[in-house]
Amino acid sequence: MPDQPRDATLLRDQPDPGAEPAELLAVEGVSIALRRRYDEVLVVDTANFTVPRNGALGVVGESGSGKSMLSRALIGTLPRYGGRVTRGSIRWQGRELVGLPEKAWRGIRGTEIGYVPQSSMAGLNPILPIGDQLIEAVSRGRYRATPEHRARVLELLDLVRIPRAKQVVSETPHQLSGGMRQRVVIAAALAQRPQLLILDEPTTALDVTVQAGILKLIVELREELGMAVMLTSHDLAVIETVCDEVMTMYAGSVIEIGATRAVRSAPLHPYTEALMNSRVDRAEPGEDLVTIPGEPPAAGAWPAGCRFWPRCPIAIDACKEGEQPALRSFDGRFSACIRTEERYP
Amino acid sequence: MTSEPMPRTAVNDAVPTPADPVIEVADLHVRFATDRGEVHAVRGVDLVVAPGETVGIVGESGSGKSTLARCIVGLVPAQQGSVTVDGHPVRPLRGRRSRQDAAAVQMIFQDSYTSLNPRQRPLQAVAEAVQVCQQLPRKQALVRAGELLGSVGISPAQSRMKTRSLSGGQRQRVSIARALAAEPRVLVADEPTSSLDQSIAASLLNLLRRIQRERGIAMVFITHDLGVVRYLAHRVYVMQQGRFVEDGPTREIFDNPQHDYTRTLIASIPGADT
Repeated sequence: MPDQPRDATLLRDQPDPGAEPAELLAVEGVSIALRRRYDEVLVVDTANFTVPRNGALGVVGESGSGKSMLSRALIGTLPRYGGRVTRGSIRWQGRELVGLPEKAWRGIRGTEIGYVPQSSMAGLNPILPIGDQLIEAVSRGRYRATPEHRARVLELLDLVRIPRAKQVVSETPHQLSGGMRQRVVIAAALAQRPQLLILDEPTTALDVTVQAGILKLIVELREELGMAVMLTSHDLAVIETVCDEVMTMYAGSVIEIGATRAVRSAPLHPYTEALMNSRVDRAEPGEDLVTIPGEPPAAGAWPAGCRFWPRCPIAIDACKEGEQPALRSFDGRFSACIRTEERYP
Repeated sequence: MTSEPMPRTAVNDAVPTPADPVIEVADLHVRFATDRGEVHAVRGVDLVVAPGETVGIVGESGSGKSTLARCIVGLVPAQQGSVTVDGHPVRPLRGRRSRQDAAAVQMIFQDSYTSLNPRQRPLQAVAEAVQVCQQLPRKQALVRAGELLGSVGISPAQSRMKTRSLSGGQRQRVSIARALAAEPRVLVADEPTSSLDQSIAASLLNLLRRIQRERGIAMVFITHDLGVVRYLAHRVYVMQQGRFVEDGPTREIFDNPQHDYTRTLIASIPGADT
C-alpha cells in the first residue's frame, strides 16, 4: 500500500461528477480558534478567498492578524499549535479539507500543497546532511534511497539554483548560509511537485540581497512549474514583487482583496491605505511618516463592529456596532469597509 | 522650509564634512577570538558625525556594523584606532571613565525584550538611569522619569506596568526614554525598528526624528533596511566585510552609487524595479 502511488480518487470524499473546479483552493467562511488555558480564542474570523490555478496570492498583515494561522489551516497543522477550524470550508481541488483525518492529510500536505516556514532552521534537521533530508522529502519518509531518489535530489537542488549540488548533499544545514538553507527548504517543499506552494514570511530573516534572490527564485519557479503560490508577509513590497493578488488581514479578518497593482495605487480599505502610506520606502525624507494611532487589538479583545474603527481616520458611528463587516465586491475587488461605496462611487 | 539653521530637517541638503564633529572614529580595528580563529570584524574604519546629524550605517549581516556600533558606545574594545566623543576618548566601560563621558553616548538595541528587565517597571528603569546620570535624589528622579516617558508617548499607567507586559513598540519607547535620561550627545540605534510591525515602526521613526530635532542629538543609525536609511539619514556609510566601501550624502548615494556593492544593495530593495 505505501508503495502504491496515491490515487486521488480513492481518497476523495465525493468524487466530483462535473468538471474540475476553476479554483485550486476555495476558502469559505473559515474561522479558527486557539485553545487557551480555560477557553478558546478566535484568531481568524470568517475568512473568504480563493487561489486560482497558477495564481499568486500575497497575504499581508501585522503580527497577530491571523495570517500564519490561516496558512497552517491549509496544511492541516493547526492541532500542533492548539488550534482548530471552528467553521467554514476549505475546498482543495473540489475536496473538503476541514475535518480531514490526519492520515488523509499526509496525501496532501507536502505532496499536493508544499509549505515553507519562516525559519529555514525550523524546516531542517540541524545534524542531518542536506542530501538525507531531501531524500526523505523525495521518498516520502523512506530512508532507503534508490538511484532515482538521488537523481531527483540533485534535480531539486538544481531547480532552486544551488551551485555545487554534489557537495551540498553531504553538508549539514549550519554549513550553509541562510539564503542557501532557505533554498534547500524550498527544494524539499517542491519534492512532490505540489500544485500550491505556501510560503510563510520566507525572507523575513534574510539580508536584502539574499531576499531579492529568493523572491526572484519564487517568481521563476511559479512560472516553470505552473504551480500556484501563496505568500504571507508583513512587507507589502515583498508581496508586490511576487504576487498578482494581495489580501489584507487585520485582527483575524480578511478586509481587502484585489489585484496587487490596483491595491497598490488605490487601496479600498482605510487600513490597507494606512499600511501603504506608512511605508518608509515610499516616504519623503524630511516629512513625518504617516502612522496609525494605537496598536492592533489582541485576539480576544477585538472591538465590536469593524475591528479597525478605533484606529480608523474615517470611522463613523455605524462602524462601531454589530459584526465585522463582510467583504463586498467592487469591480472584481473586495473591501470590508462599509464606507467604500461612498468613497469610491 | 524651516527657519532654524540647525538641526537640519531636510535630509537632502548637501551636508559638508563636519568641521566640529561630536564623534570621531579613526582607523578603527576590532578583532575577536573565536573557536575558529580570529575574526577581524572591523577593518580600519573612519567616521565622523556632526552634532544634530543622523548618520546611517548600512550593511548586511556579518558586515561588522553592530560591532562598530558597540565599539562607539564602549561595549566592545578596539584593538587599534580611536573613538572620541567631544574629543574625549571612549574606553571600554570597565576602564576608568568619567560618568559624563559614559553618558554622552547612549545606545538603543534591536531587542527590547533583552535590553530591558522584564520585571521592572518603565518608571523604575528610567528613574535608575536618571539617578545615576543626573545625580538626582530618588524622588526627583522619579518625576523626571515620568516626564521623559511622557515625552516618548508612554502614559502614566503604562509606566507603572511591568515592561514585559508592554508591546514591542512601547518597550522600544521605554528604551529611548532610558537613553535620554543620560542627556546624551549621541544616540546609537542598532536596528531599533527591525522587529516591529510597520505601523509601529513608522511612529517610532517619527519619534526618533522629533527627539533629534528638539534636542539636537547626533544619531548613528545602524540598519540593513535601505528604506529607513534613505528616509532618515543625512549621510550614509555603506559597510561590507568590516570596511566602508562608500559614504556620502544620502541622496547622492541613492541617486548615484559609485561602488558595485552599493548598487547591488539598492537594486535589491523589493519593488526597486517597479
